[in-house]
Amino acid sequence: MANKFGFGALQPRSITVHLPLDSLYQKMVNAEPSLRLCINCGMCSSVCTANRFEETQFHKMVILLRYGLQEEAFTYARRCVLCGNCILTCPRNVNIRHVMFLLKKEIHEHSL
Amino acid sequence: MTDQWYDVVVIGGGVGGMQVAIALADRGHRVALVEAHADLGGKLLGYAKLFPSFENAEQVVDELKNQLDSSGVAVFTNTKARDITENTKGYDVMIENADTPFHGRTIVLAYGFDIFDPTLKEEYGYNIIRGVYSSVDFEKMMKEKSFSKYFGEKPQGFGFVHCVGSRDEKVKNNYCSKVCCITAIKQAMEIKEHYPSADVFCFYMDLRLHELFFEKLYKQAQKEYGIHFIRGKVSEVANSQQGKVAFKVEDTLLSRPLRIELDGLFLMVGIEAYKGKFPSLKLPLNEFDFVDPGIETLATQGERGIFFVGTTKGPRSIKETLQDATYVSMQVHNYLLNHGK
Repeated sequence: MANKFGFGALQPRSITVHLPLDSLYQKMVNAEPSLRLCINCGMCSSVCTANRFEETQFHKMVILLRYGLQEEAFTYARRCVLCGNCILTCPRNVNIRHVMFLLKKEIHEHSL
Repeated sequence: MTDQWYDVVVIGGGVGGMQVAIALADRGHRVALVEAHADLGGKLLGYAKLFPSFENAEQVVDELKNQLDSSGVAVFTNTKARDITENTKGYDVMIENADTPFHGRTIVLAYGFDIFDPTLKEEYGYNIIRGVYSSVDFEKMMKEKSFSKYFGEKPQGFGFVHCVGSRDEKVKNNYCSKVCCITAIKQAMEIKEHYPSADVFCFYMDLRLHELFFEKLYKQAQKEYGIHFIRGKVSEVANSQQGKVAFKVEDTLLSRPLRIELDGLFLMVGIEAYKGKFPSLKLPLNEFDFVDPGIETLATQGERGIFFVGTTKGPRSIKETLQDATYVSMQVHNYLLNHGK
């Protein structure tokens, strides 16, 4: 096998932010305004049932949604088991389960 | 020519200087207030509204001025103190372009602070790249109501860069300027109010909202104004082909770099020690060139009759400066009583 050297034909990791921000983010924020209060502290992820086995980080998902990276956000949403541990621990009282539920609904309705 | 002897000569007519002069005159001392500029109010004259209550800055200045008018303080504007010398009876304050000095049994230094020069942080392109302004410029735009002159009617986005010239080893300001975080939040809310459809981003490394109601304002900015807080600081600022401010920033919570184009980028410039010094007066300064409270209270304030107010001692909000001025006025009062008034 030939030695690999340099970069392959990868997609750039950088995110280009388009304004106005993603419509799904706006939709989620309007449906659950407490989502705006997230300070990305990561307490939700630390108690997350699904995150024990597979990467399911709500505090990152909020940011992914904001930048319009829907596919990556959906990957997290699919893994959520709606246990609600995150809501109990959130210092800003974000209704995380509701956001996850809405996203699951979005995935289901649009067969994503 | 009569010698002008005062119990207290206050140098600097900002909020701290005005407050300390009023408090001392109320206690029956003969007070002179010396201000280099034509108007009293200091830096506050350049601000539109104040955090956290969106109070009018002008109103605060006017209130102090009114109190000053009825207090009997001798106010000297357009009078710049050049130097201060110590003698057995007190201090002589030399004035630029004037022969007679002011004599004070005590002096109160309230010369305030300097604002960090953002051109020193070249990566932000202040004065080079169109659309990059400082927080001081923001206040000016706010005061003049001239946003549309700079950004038109339908801008899409604005950014606020925290900690410009604060907590920065490169410019030797290894301290937090304390008031910029809350100022950024206040200004973000103001511009969002002006342009509700624009997205407003704050780029921070830490948010330091130390006072009781600051956190409340932060929450309000998030929930009601929908301001986005991004942990990561801006770099490589340039103008895009459309004439917008294009830059890179790492979202450190996502560990991914962002590329973003905004209509305006505001640099939250920090507080620096005042650079104009009095050559004959040896001030107890710390490594940041602020007057050191430790040295001041133990040795200087008690014995020499020289006192310091507000931002001479480090970054302070207006509220803190006013509180400090009242506290210092008590010290001056006690000093004058103990030294045979």
